[in-house]
Amino acid sequence: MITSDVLLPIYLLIIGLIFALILRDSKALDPALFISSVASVTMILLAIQTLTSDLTIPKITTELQILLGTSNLLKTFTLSLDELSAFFILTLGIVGLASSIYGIAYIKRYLGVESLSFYSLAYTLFLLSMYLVLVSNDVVLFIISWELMAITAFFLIAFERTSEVARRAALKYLLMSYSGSGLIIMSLLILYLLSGSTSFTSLKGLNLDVTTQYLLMLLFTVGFGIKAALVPMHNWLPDAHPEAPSNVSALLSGFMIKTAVYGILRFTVSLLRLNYYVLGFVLASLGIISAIYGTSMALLQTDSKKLMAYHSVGQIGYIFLGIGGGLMLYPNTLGIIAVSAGLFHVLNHAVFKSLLFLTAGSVIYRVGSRDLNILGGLARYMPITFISGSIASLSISGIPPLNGFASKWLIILSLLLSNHPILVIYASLAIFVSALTASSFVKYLSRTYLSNPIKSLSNIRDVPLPMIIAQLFLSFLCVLLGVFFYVPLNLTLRTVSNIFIADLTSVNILITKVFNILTFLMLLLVMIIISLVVSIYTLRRRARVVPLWTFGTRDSLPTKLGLSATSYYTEFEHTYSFSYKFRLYVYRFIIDPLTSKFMKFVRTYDSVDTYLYVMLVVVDIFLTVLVLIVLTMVV
Amino acid sequence: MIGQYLSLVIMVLIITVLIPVLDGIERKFIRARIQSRVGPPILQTYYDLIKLFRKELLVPSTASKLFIIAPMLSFSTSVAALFIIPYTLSNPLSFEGDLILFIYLLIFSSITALLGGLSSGNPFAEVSSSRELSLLMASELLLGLSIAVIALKHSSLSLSKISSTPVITPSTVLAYITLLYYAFIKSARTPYDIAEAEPEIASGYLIEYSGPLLAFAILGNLVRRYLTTSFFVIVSLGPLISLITSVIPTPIKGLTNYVLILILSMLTYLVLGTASVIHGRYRVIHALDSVKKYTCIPIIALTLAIVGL
Repeated sequence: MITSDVLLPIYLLIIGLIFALILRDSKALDPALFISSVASVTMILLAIQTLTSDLTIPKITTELQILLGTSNLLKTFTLSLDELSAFFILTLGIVGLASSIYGIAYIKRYLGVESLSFYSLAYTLFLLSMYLVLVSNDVVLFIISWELMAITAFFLIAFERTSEVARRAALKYLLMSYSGSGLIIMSLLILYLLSGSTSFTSLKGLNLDVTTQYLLMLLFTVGFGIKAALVPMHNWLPDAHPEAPSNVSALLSGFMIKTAVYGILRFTVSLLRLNYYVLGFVLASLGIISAIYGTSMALLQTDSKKLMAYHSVGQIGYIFLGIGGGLMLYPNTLGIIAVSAGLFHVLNHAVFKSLLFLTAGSVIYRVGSRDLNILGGLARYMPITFISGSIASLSISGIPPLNGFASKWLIILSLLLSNHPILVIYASLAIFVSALTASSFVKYLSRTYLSNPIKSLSNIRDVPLPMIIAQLFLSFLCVLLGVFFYVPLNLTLRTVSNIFIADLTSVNILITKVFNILTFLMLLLVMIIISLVVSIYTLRRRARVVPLWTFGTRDSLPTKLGLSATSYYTEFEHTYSFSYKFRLYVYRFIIDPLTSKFMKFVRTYDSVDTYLYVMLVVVDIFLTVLVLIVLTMVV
Repeated sequence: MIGQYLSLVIMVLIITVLIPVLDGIERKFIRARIQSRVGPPILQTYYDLIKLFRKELLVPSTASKLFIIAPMLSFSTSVAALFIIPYTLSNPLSFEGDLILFIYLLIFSSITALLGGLSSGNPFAEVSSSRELSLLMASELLLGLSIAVIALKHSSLSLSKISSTPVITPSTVLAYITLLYYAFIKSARTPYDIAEAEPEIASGYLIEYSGPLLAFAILGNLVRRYLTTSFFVIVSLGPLISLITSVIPTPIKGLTNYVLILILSMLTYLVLGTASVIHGRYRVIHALDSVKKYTCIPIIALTLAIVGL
């Protein structure tokens, strides 16, 4: 019964794949995306079933027979489903459902330009590979699905084949992604040679000496760090995510980068139990750097999707700040809360970030532009997109009672209360970052929906039904997860306590002390009552519509009077320029010398980052071979 | 239990009623006195608000629905934040970490007000929002760092706990000074009123508002001004009050605390008002520069706190 449940999304997605292969061009799109949405629903149900099931059933294991080769290694893979993977599958299901439904209408804009059947193929395969990454209990299957995920994502990013920018971004992504997965493969191979088995279960409780521990920590952190786009390994994300079709961007930013969080939690934290303090310090430091850097770069962007992509860097920083900080505090119960808050932020970020990308996609669908300098005034033409966009923007800014608030607040709070000087400094900077986030999204809202349009807006109406459904679904979740946040929070608390084998009751006691549901709901009630009373009082009278005040002249105000997106935060940028010099220094002192000295022979590419990652790929391959040789000789 | 909540509601009501009067006192006895004018009557802010409430509801043709909702939402959020403050140095709604909730509510309140102004489609609102948010970002760094000091020194982020346990060290004193400065920035009074700047950008985000909506926007502003001031008073002077009133018997202790905090908040409010009258408005870049310069105070405080002072 249960075993078939784990396989059900896989079967469904394979049926979708077959449809995409058989049917021609546009006919393939609807069935494939419909089946993807059904598969996403089954994922959500499966995850909820696992998360709410009794704790006495720890793991559901099933076997997947794949005839890939004759060797014993590749014949049978075990799939397993525990609470950690179930939580991530829930996230994947939600994002996958929204972006599949959205895609049904959105991808039709490429009709006749690009191959829609190819899109359906890559998209279904992408979903399938991400699902496999989460359920695989086997090193080989993990590597295969990890690589499949990277490659299908590459094809989806480069979906607009005619665009030079998209192709270049996809190439950069592929190079960086490969250099990262090379490191992961290398460390998994080391683990295989040490344990002698490919099953994850055999890795549990593996006795590692200190050197191997630090080596693995380094490999995993850099490898998963590239996938998660932690600064300074983030360069691919702000280029690649905006170039993909919007619903794919939602899936990339909403979910794919979080597979790295899953990887870190699965391998370094749950299975291997590497030195928590050092690992935590590294992750938290990378996290806060990403948060500050990603968000302050986002502040300057004039391209709506690029702005959001930089925020993905920033928000993944928050997630790692929570997880890393929690690991540093480990035996302390506050640490468990911080890690759970980080994990909770994974779900929340997935919801609001995919919603943001979908709204940006709706604007592209109708207006055909994502340049914040020329957009504006869409609120009256696209009301539902506007409402979804503002809910998502307020949510990412951490505004109560939306979902971003709950997790951010808990991350900041648990770190501030820890009394650990480093973590307290990080948390105080995180408060600053949330102000940056809010400001940058006010700019997005203002320049897209509110202020004067520079482009003329005529005959613009709201997007087709599937897109509206997807947006409303996610907006609804933003509010629901925000108001009743203790439900998902309890799930994450239970999951994390299981990972750390911590006492759940003491965690629960602390969380009720730290946070009072009653207060939260009462304040909400107060807000609602006051708003209602006040609005009933005000709206008794009919509003009279008057023209905009034009300082007594007969002409309308010149549009140039307002601020363009480019000059929105000029003064702030000028005054606080030190945070923007980071990139400059990194390039001047680290990347440039490295590249100029060693990489003269790959000057066929024009981007500086590319050299570094070409180099990394080469080094990876070399090191993997070396490690393999050395280890086979030793073992 | 219910009595506690009821008294909280009554205390909040009293303060909400007093806030416009406080503004009137500032206008009559501080502003007018320093500028050698006779000044308006103390209840002038009330007269203004009542007149605005009676007026017609005007909505510009380019505005979206947010234009109407935002000022009311902003007002109700700031009133909700009033409920978190421990007026008697304890609060039935208090919990570990209500300080962060308080700050987020404050940010929400000012951002919704801005979004409402932006949705009018007037370009001046845009200029104003850019200024306000730049100032918000700069001042939030200041606030975050001083909260870090408080968290390290008090090992708690509950307003009631912080306000009833005195911790006086060099680092906390510097953090309190920063909070006073933060209250000054957030009060949107003269040197830092770059977002409204009436002669410059015609009231900025309030430009299209009139009648009852303007009244709500003004009320929201006044409540926020009071909130930041009393935040400073609770965190820094609350411990002193608790020391003074510790000798008073329990039945009237709560009332004494309430009255003392109210008086101190009003005094601080008026002191900040005086400081604002003797300043001219900063230019945007100078406002940000000054905030950046004063960021060194909480940085020093945090360093001291980590060292153990």
